[in-house]
Amino acid sequence: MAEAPPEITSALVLGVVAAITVFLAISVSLGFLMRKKAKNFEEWLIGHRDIGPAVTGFALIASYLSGWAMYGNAGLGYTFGWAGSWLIGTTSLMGIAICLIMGYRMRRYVRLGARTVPEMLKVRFESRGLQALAGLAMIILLIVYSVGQYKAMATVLTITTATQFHWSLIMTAVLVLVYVAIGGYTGTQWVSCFQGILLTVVGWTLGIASLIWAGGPAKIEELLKTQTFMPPGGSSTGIPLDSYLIQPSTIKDMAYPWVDWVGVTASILMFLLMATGFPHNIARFLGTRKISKREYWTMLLIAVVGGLTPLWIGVVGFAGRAVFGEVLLTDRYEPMYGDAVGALVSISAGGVPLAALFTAGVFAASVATLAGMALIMATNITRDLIHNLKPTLPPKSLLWLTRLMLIPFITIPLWWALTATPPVLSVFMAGSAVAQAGIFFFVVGVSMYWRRATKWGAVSSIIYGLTLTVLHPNAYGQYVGLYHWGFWALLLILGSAAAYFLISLLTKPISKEKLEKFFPKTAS
Amino acid sequence: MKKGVPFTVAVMVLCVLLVPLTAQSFGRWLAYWSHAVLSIIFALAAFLLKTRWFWEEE
Repeated sequence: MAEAPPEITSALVLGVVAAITVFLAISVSLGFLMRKKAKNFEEWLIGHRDIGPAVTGFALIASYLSGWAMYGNAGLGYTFGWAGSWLIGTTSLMGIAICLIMGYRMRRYVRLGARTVPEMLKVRFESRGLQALAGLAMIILLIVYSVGQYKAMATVLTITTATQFHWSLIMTAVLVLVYVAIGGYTGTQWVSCFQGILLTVVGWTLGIASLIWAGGPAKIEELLKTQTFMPPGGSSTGIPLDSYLIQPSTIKDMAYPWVDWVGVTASILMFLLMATGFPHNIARFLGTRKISKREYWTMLLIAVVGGLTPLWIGVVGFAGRAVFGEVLLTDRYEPMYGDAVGALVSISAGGVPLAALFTAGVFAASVATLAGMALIMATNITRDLIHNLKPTLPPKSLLWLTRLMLIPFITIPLWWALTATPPVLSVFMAGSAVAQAGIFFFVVGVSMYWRRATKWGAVSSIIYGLTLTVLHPNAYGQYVGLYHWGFWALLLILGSAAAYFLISLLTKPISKEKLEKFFPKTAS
Repeated sequence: MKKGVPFTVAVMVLCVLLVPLTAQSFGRWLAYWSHAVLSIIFALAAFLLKTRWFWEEE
């Protein structure tokens, strides 16, 4: 017999408000301390290039663990059972390790004048056009990614404070504005480091607590066997949730990775490339200092502890499904559906303290990430487009323009989330993640190591990747017969790679003299 | 090719290939946590490649 989800109490509301306030206070204090050190716009972007391995490691974990990993993973485990693992990211650590190894070379481009990821491309290929195109691609993909962050925070607010979902979305936007206005986004690396530690602690604590709450691993496994797949807002299909694959019963179900091994292969490839492909991840290395071999291993230790956090959030979803049954997939929980499980399990498993801690974690993962993404998009406009066209614009005007541009980049994803809330936030965000992995892993990551890369290879990869993004099975892909998530993702990733390598090889290489500064003889 | 590199790369490739194989063969918790173990081995091998054979001095 399934247990009923918990009720909301005034103590819970108070705990949640207190947790958000404390989190804001710590982030702002850290931001304020670090802001005093930044004398200009450039220092604000990259700091003093004195960030060590521990701060870089945790900051990378914080930027990697967004609303998807910290909240959406529970929804995946709840809605799809074991099959949800293919988007939970059980292999996240592989991708994080690749990012830690490849990303370090960003420092070389900082020395050559790069302050943002698109600027790194301008330096590497001596092309302002490529810088602008990369900035534009980042804006498009990050807007999609931001919609999922909105759903994560709004769902937590709705579940813990009984606020209506659309008001929770608006409250989330207000919280982002407050966070930005009081300076929570400044001193980025240090605030991110604090958030990375918080997310890791919250993820592990909630995961272990939910395992105990649901009666242990064996009990969860046994109860999951009795559950069948039910799409959000739909009716039970009778397909058991006991496997790592869920056979599609309708053509719409083909839009998931777990329908067959092609989809599974595509999802594994996505996780291998996406940590490096996320521009907000690789940007963590812009302020990093020189790191020794021993310190590199310290970063790995942090990556292992932090990189297992998404798995613990997945466990929360399995535990929730085992205890609550399929009730969250009914219309009663529209439009949150299975994504509501994280907050509900935190209340049931640990009462007010755990629910408050979890809310602070989701706040860090979604609101702080939303603020960071809005900032990246605003910087893409001011630095990669406007400054590109008018380099004489004073830095003070650039800073003000960046602040102004935050408004559209906070409201556009809000409008999207209000009018078309994704039923499963992680599935939605994975669409953007595939594109970021497919495009930026090669255009940014590989270009730092491959001498033969050319501007035209990078341009064609971005254009191809963006075109395929529009053809996602749940967007326009269905109109051209692209229903299968796995084939779509493989076409995007492998196609972007093919465009990048082939066009690079077919176009004029960069001269040896110019390459000398990116690949000095002393370095391999 | 530096000695030890092909073996380390082979270990990394094997870790990736074993992910769907464990899901198919074992399923449930065993597959779930074995993916974490495979990821740790992959990360260790990747860091070994970087620090032992491909370290960049500035």
